[in-house]
Amino acid sequence: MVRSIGLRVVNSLLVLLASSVLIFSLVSLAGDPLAELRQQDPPVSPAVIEAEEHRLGLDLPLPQRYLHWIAGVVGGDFGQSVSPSLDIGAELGDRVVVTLRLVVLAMAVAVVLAVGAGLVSGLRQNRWPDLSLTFASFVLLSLPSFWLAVLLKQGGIWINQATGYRVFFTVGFESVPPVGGFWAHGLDLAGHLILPTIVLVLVHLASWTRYQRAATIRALEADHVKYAILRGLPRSRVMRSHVIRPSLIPLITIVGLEMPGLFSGAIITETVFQWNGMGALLLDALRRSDVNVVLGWLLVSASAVVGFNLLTDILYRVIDPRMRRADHV
Amino acid sequence: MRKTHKRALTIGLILALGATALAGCSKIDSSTDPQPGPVQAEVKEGGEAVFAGFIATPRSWNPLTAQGDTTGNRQAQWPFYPHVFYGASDGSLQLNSDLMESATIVSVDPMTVEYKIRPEAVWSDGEPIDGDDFAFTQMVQDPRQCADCQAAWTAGYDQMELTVSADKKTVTAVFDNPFTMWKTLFIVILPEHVAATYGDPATAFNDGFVNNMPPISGGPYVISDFQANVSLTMVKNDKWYGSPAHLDTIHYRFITSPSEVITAYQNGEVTIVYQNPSLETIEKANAIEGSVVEIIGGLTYFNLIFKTVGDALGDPILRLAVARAIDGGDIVTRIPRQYAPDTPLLGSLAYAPGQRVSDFTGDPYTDNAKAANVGQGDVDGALELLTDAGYTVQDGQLHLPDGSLLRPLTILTYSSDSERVQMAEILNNQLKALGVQTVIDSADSTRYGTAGFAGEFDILVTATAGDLGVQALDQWYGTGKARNGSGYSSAAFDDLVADGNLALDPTESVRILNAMDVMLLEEAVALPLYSIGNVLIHSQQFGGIAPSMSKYGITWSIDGWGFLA
Repeated sequence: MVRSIGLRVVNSLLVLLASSVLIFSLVSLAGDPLAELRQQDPPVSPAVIEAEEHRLGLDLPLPQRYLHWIAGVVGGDFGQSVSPSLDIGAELGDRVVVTLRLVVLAMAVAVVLAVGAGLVSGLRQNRWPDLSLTFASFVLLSLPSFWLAVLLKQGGIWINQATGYRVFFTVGFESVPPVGGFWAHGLDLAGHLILPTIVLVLVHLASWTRYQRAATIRALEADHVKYAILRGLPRSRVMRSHVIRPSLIPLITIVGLEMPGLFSGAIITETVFQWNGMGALLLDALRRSDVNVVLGWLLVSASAVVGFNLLTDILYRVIDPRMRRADHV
Repeated sequence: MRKTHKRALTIGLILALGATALAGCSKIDSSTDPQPGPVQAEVKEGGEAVFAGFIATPRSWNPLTAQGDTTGNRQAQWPFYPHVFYGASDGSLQLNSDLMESATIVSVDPMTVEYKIRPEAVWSDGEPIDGDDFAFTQMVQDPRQCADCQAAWTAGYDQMELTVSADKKTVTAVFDNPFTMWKTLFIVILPEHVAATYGDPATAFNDGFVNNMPPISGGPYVISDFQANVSLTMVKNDKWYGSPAHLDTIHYRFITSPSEVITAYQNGEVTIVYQNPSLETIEKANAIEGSVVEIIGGLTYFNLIFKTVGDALGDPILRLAVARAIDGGDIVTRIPRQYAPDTPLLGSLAYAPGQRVSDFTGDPYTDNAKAANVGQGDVDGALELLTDAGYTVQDGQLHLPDGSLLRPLTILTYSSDSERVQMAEILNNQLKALGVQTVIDSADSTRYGTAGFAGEFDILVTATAGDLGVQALDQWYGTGKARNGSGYSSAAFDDLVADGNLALDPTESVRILNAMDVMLLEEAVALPLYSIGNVLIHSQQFGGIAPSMSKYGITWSIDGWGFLA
């Protein structure tokens, strides 16, 4: 298992290196990071433009710029941003925390609900619980997340105004000015979390429920399940050991694949709710052709991919004894 | 109360001037129960406000650097620095009598300005605001003294010699040449004693002031807390030497999307909003009960620039015909009047309606476009011009005097600005009346500026900051100037620029700027469209918020903000 994980890490590092070369080249060639400065009114002097070009390394050939960047990253320096006062490393750290606050709870809730709904749907196939959940899933799948977010915000505001209490918040992860007191602060944080969490949960719940339903139905139709029932094993044991556990594997794969993407920023939800996390950072950096920020974001994103792939592998082995045995063969 | 009184007087005068003044400062009051104007109302002490709009996490804490000299940063940091002059509501520059006893030209040859600083003016750490601060601020913006300092603006500073009196409260600036825009100098003064802690002047200016939040303040408020990408909080500066500020605490909330700002306002998460308007945001704001919604025309305006050299619009007859056929009123009706019905069609590249010029008693604005008959949608007149010159329209397409078909004209516009894109689409339609076909080149931020400056267009949809006087027009239309993508070159125009740069008399200065405007309009080099507005939204409980036509927005009046008594 350790060897397989080690190989996977080495592979991921090579992929990361190749992606960084590609993204560095694409972003560098796509636009001029000093475009805004050049268009400033009143015009900025050529000496200042030259100094900025030098600070950002734009006066160097592309390969040399890349080598400078990679050497810096090894030493913990992510390079200069177009915004002079921005410390890219610190900014990435802050933004990851913001994104995690948004994503972790939402994903945990979505996974629990998807497993539950998928199992109910699969075990009660073509009966009213399945039909209701299927209908709800397709409705959710057809809703654009942006529209859903805007709708929820307006709904939240309506409830606030109707009750006279501000329970739901529409921007950021905490109030400005911050609310004092442990409980009051906790409630404030929760009030900011509710709407974006609902959006993220609903957006993922629909598709994950469908995966779980299909996996449950497949598991139910397996020969070993039929054989276990014929042998007279208790239904609860058959369900727990031979249906539910193996049916979780496809969902773990899907969640494992989607989590790094969310870790890198739930861009639409972050934008609508103004959580300035990783997604907002990437959008802003791309708009400004801020190569070093984009590359820093890529490092975090790629690390998340590696990390979640490893986690997925480990979970496979926890859930499926066949995989544990395969490691020992 | 000095500044407050002066401000109230200024605003009273503006109101008294009636419709002309109001044309550039139109107000939409959405309140169901109209309240007295916020500016005249008496406000009480105490309370706090959360402000959102233009202001974002500063990319540079130094508002004098090229990177820090942005609209949002200027407005955000206004309350923390001393200013010799400020941009008042009508766009004129007024002496900041909280800080200054006087700032006057004491000699015209050589031009000499004497600045007298109030003895009581101090920074929030108790250090006096004095000539050393002036000298440092001048030095870092003068390439002769600090070649490595990355200042946004060096004009004026690069031709003055400063002397500081023994008590350091009088500063005398002697200019090599007359500098008409002298009131724009020292609009922000940096603390010299803080600079000394950062190292040599270049390091202090480029790094120290850029990377560090202002540790002290020379204005009515001082920063008490800052969270990147979330908020900045300021409290009253207890060493503030001017008229007392009203609100105890003000928070800037960093929200990057204008539509989310309005939603946050609707939910009570922000209490004052100042940002660019759009139909969507204004409709939303108007629907919020108990709000005051004001749209204020600024000194920056949208305009068209025509290519004056080359094969198509290089022909002055065709260019004039195109300028004549364009219906600016239709553009204004279809775009800004959708959310600001009183928006006037701009008739000048030099001044905006309602704008005032310091020490000039008259109205500097003249509708020169109407007089030159450009931008008025005169299609018949344009066709007559073309016919007389041998052009013909066959099958709805314009043919040159030699019989060949006029190639499609390229309209260069900015893809990130929906209004500029709309303007290009409207132009595309309007010019069909002349048989002129156009193609729209919608460029993003990385190409728009360079393509515009390089003249890769026939018609450029652009915006111009009108607060720079002669220099605003010179940089776009002066012979060989870096932004002159139109290729326009006129000795007479350049002579006017030279005269304008030396004219210290405001009356003469206004005359010259209007003469430059007439020249550009009569030769169909450019066409003004409308002022870019900003919208101020706040609850009827607030007062004392005075929007300015200048780029300093509403924070210039921050000490006057408060809850109505």
